[in-house]
Amino acid sequence: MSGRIRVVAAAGLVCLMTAVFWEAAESMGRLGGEGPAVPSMPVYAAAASAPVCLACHGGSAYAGLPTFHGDCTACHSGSDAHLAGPSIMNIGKPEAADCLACHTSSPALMHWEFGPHARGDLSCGDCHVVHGPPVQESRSVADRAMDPVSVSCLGCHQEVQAKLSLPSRHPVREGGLACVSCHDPHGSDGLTQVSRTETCLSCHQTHRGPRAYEHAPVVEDCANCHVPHGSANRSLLELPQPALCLQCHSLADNRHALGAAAGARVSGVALRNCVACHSAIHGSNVDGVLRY
Amino acid sequence: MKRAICFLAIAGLAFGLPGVTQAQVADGTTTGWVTSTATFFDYSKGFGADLTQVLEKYDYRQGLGGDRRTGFLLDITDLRLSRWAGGRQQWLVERQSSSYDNHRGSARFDTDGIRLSAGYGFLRTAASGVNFLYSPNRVQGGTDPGYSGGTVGFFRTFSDDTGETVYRVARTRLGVDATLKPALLKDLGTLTVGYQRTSRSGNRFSPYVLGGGDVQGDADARAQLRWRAYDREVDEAADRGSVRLNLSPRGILNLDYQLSVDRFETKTLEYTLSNVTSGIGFGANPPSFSAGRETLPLNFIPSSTLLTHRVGATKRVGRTAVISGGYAKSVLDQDGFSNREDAAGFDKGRINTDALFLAASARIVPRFGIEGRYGYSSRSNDSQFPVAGFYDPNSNFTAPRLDEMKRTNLRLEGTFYPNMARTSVALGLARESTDRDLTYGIGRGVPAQRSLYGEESQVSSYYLRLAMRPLKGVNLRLRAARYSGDKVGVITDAESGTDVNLSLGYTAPSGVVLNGFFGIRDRSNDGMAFTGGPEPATAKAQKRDAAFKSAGFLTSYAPSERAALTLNYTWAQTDVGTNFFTTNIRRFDQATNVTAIVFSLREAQQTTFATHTLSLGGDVQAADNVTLGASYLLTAVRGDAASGTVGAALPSPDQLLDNTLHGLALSADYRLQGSWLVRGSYYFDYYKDAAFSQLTGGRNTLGLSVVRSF
Repeated sequence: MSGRIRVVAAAGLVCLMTAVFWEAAESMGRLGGEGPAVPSMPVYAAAASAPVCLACHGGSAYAGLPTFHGDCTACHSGSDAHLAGPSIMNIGKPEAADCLACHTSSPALMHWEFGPHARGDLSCGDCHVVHGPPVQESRSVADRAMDPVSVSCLGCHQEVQAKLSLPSRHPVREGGLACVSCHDPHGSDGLTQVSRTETCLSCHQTHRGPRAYEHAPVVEDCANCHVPHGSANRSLLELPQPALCLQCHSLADNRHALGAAAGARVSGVALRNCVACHSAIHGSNVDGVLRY
Repeated sequence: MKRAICFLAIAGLAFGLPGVTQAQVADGTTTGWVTSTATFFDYSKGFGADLTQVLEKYDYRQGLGGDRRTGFLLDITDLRLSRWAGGRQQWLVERQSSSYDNHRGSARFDTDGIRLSAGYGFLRTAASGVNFLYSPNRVQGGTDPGYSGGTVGFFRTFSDDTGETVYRVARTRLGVDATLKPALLKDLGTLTVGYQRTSRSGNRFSPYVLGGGDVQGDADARAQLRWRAYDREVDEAADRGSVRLNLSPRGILNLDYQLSVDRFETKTLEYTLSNVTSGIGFGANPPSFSAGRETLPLNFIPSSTLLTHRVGATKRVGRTAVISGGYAKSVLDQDGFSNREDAAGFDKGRINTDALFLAASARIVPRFGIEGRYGYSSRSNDSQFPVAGFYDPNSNFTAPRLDEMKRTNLRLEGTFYPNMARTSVALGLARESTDRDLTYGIGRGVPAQRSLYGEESQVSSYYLRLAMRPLKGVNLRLRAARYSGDKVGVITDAESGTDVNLSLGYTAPSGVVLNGFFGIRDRSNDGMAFTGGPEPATAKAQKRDAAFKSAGFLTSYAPSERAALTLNYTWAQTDVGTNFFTTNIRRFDQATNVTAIVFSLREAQQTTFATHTLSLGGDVQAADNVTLGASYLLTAVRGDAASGTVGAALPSPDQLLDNTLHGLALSADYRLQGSWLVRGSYYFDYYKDAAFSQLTGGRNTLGLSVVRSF
């Protein structure tokens, strides 16, 4: 099955590339034929359409704001129908592709289409307030220490918001870091996942090694043991000790108090905190059993 | 460069100040506010002033004079000042602080041609201090008087040589970026040069175990002196320089290149067995290290340099097609070596990583699009190997060595956009394969049959993704995936699995927002086994069944522009079951005689716990010059860390998960005449731990702020 899937997938990818290039060739002559017109250069608040629009919308938050987004019809399509019969239903709202028509040189947006937000059918306006500050400001008294970008993210990612309140967490609520410290909301280019640990090690350099004696699952993927947003267990562990370790490890009777003194019983002392002895759990330059 | 940008984003993006709204401003004006705050805080219960409070873990505070139990914080200044010119925010200076131990700030200057950014952040946390509260001497059942002598006798006594210090670590970040914009580069693109420094200082609680022969005396006396802990200094810094060139010639395509050099250096003393035990009272049984043993390093951290190159390209074709690709290569070199490595002649520690991806998507016809992505990454351990007498599979070797790991990801997806309810339906196939080159010990080491770590993982998944807006204001999202593993290499691999994520939201014209979600992530793996003896060898299968479920709702209501209310609740449940095995000898003992080891299935283990998070809050403009705000947060954890024999053996603080955190926040803003505002605030936080009652404690915080807006 695996070989067949590989062949099918490779063939599919080749077909896809062909389709893209075909599409490229075909569409050279119809650039700009869809959606709103693409301005040739940034425009300011005094753009041509603004006075007409502000005749009705002048009392709102759109008036007088210094912005590059002052030419209303550069982003909103359907203005003729809207002028004939003003309704929220007949004025086009910009999709991500409309924004990308101007924001062509932004490195952050190079891989937008392949990120989870684009694939989830979100557009720029779902996070950005185009007519005002780039992100909305927090109003909650409890969120004052948190950066406003994270507040915006957590407005949708409610499960993550809950995890960031658990006893063990990354200090996002305290403002110590933000969602964008680890995540690229505009679409990861995929190059930060060389070993899935690179993002973590960009802050946790202590654990990046190189170590002569590695703990292989650790260097392969931090998420084998840790959950990054928050955990009920200490040290952001997915499971508490010893359950986490015993998934892969057996206990030797002659070293972990099973076959020695005190009636060969399992000792809670040995089980409660494996890293109390194996403190070099992320790797060692000295010891093969990760004690030093 | 991403790190630097992200850091500046953390430090610098619009710090919100409730009650002071963004003014609509004209060119040439300066806007913003400055806030000065006086704060009083007071802790109750807990372990007292000499030890860490749980509430200090992520919110460590020292008042004037260094008082941590009851303290005053004066003149905590926040500000946000900006000047508008040329249709943009030309410069911006911001600072936000919660205490002397948690503050950050940034500055930015922006023109058509250049952007200059700088930022800093400072955060002191006490996670290690909380870990210390769980150290063996502080938990009933943390030591076991029933044990004496032999290889396990050290369970009887734990010698804490640390002096019960308050453990905390401060992280300081500094960063500067300069970006040349297209206007300066003939519209070709952007060039960004950045520098970032991250430093950490403080101390950590660090346990260790002396060898059986490291202490004099009879076996029982020696054993009781072996298990110890020391106070470890933290003093390390990482300096990172980066250059990023992004070109978009005539808008034809985007080309991107990034170069970064990241140097990490630890200045911490190289701790050894002799220097952590010197000056410590061992009584009649002083240390007696065998030759070379006294210089054994403890938790050595190597300094290192990481060099990374990244190139990428994206070509968009109108609004219907895009193709993108990239390649990255990084080399991590070890710069500092332990004395054991030096003595063995080990002088090359190097990790090479490569990554490549290629992706394309196209809207073939207006109602149908396809997308594909291929990714490849590899991690190669190119450190010196083997090293005789130090790291050699024929002698001193234990766990398998991961020489190289190659991972490929493939995803193909088709999306249908029916002309109804802004719907998109995607069906996709994804596959992830991991190949590992492993070296197993020949003499003393864990052979493959005794390890739950395999050379291949291959997991396929099929998924459905649905986004729909069936009615005005209604938003439905569903993702369902089924996983099937042909080969499993780690126990967390999905031999079989299911994901379901469903969310439904409704925004009413009245401003009421209702959202609900449900999610389940189910993973099973019984494809791995320990194989031992006696002959004929029998395989003892490990079996892991893991289910992670969550559900919740979010409501918000803004009855007018002067008031807003929110109510959130989230429940999450973790259920993980595995088998618990014991062996008669260690798995790396006598690797050449596989018949000598016997794996015994002791019992099936179950870990089950649930978390509940409830938050509610609101603010109201009670009068033209008065705004009131309130919020309450409750987080509760309930469950069992283990079941059966293991669960019965664990002390209560480790077996039970039973804690609750309450957080109440109240604020009142009074706007004076002109541009002055006075704010009073009160916070009450209370942590209750039924499994480890000594951790229970609370904190009151009172604040008074004066805000001057411009």
